[in-house]
Amino acid sequence: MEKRKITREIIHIISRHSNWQAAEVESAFKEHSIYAGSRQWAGFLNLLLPGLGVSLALSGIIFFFAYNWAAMHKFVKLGMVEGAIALSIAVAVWPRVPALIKNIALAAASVLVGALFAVFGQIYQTGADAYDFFLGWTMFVAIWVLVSGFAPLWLLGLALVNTSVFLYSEQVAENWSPQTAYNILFIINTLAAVIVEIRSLKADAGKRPQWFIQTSAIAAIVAITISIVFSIFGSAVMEGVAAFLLGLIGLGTGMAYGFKTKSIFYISSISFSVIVIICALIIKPIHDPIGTFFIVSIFLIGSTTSLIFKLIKLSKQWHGSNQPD
Amino acid sequence: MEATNPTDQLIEDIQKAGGNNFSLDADRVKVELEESYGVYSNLPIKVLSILGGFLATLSFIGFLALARVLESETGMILLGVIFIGSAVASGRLVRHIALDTSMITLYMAGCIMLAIGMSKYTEHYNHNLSPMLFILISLLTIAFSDGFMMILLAVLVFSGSIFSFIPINSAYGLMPVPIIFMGIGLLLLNFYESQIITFSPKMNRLYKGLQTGFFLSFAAGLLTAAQNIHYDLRLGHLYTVSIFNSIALLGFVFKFTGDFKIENKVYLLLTYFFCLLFIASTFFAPFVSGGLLLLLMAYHFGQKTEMGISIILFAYFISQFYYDLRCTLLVKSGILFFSGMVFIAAWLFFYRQLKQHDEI
Repeated sequence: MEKRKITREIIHIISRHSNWQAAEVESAFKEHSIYAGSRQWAGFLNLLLPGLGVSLALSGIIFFFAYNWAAMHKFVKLGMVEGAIALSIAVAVWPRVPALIKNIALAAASVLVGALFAVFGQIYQTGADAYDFFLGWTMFVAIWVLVSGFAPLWLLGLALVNTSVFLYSEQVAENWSPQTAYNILFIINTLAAVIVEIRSLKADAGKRPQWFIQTSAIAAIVAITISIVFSIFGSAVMEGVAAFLLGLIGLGTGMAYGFKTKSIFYISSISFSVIVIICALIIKPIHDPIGTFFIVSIFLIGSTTSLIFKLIKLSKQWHGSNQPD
Repeated sequence: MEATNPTDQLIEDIQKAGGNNFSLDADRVKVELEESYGVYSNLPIKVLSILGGFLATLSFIGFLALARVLESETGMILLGVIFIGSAVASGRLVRHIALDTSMITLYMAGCIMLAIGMSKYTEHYNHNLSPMLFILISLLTIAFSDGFMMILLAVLVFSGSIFSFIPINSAYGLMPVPIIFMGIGLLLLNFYESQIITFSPKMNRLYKGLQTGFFLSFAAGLLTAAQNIHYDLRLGHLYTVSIFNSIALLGFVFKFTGDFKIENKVYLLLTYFFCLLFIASTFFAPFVSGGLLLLLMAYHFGQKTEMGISIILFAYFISQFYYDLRCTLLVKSGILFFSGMVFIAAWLFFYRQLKQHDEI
């Protein structure tokens, strides 16, 4: 047998074909860190307690200002949020505070900037869901997001940029076709994934913010898939051509990168996007809806099944027995 | 010679501990380990087969609707039974993940067709017949299958049928019953994993599908509570779910204090005090404490995917609390802020102890 880290699956398989006793299986789960031991719990609680505490307290603050207490003077409201921002920043720059807590405090300050804009909008009636609210929020936290090196804060920054662009296309750029907005979102999310991927190349595998890279990559793939499907059924020619070109370059590069880095994630998600696009191409020219639905369902089953066959083959070829969990 | 492979080493250790009483079918273990490489340990492949199966089912049902096949109840029931039977049979005959997409499509399309056919048949009789039939089908599926995906689908059909009794009978006050049932099921499956997988090879094969199915069903129950609580006040007895969550959370704390060997009575009392404060502050929002319970269980039992889902669910539950009409935003803001402070206070208090354990 080849070298392979002990996983839950291995313990299940051994137990299935032996008379291994339950108590010993339980010990194996603990010994091989499949169940969290006291050390893992200590690390987890060190992250969970402050993270949850700050998130819940921030939600409380946001709910408080959403209540729009009429009796409270506007300067008190603004002063309270600004005071909370100042306190968070003080924690973030205090030298003796651990790095994780500094990052959590900076993330809290970034959320509170949004609350400050919302309270300002509430007092002076500037519009709470206008694109410029999100744009202002994005601009004022941009430096913190960039210097933090903290993936949850990057996610907040990316979500703000996405929301600003989307609302701009809805509320201001009335002449934009839906494809234009989705093409821009594709470029933004691809850039985010690429920048963080390059930045993380030198980091240890365990320290890479893989979840952030994959979230932005999925956002980019979904955006370009929607844009291309809209282009297939829509009438905006130039934007359609742009969507196809972006898709060809972006998805093609992503696929090549997936093969280069032996990443099943990139290959499977990009391939599924291509399957959806082909479904749209099948539906478009056929005028018989009954036949179309039947063909599409057969195509979906066939293409997904062959894709999974191929992925399993690649996975075995690349990783052998050392599968990622 | 010493074993260099971790799996061989593990088997050697088990043999040493078990002595002559230990018996192992090494060839079967080797074959299954080879087969398992890169299959269900790979999340993108799982997601791909589910997404492909789901879209194919939607498209196929669209075809049936347009071809007017859905209008014949006898045809629907017959086709539904054939589809479900074929899915179960093919799952037994060919055990390969690549065929999951077709099995999911067959099973889901079969269940939808059978449900439509049955709804037309039972229109003038007892409406509870359909969910009862589906419970039977799901139990039969579990009895005759042992693949992860079929078991998962069967558990979801089972829990969906149990939940459907509530709207069918307009018994909204009983909503906590299926939620607590799923929660207890998940707790038992997590805490008794070793006993279940060593009970018999069949139970061992069923375990993963059952655990994931109960996790998703309990999460779906909490989601239903979170979505409906702000406008459907008929679900008024949901505090019973809070009682269940509270007992489970306290049970967890009891386990920690045992694992951490906290013997200092002041620390013990304060741990329970912080826990009770959080439980009290979220008592009327059972989905918040339920979300935390899911997160803690997923972490403790090393279920990484479930942990990711639990984090997203927890954030969603907090956002749903915003729409709870039973108290003002001011009260809700106080509850959330207070709960946050409880966590921060607990962290500040236990920081040194946690740091010491973390560094061991």
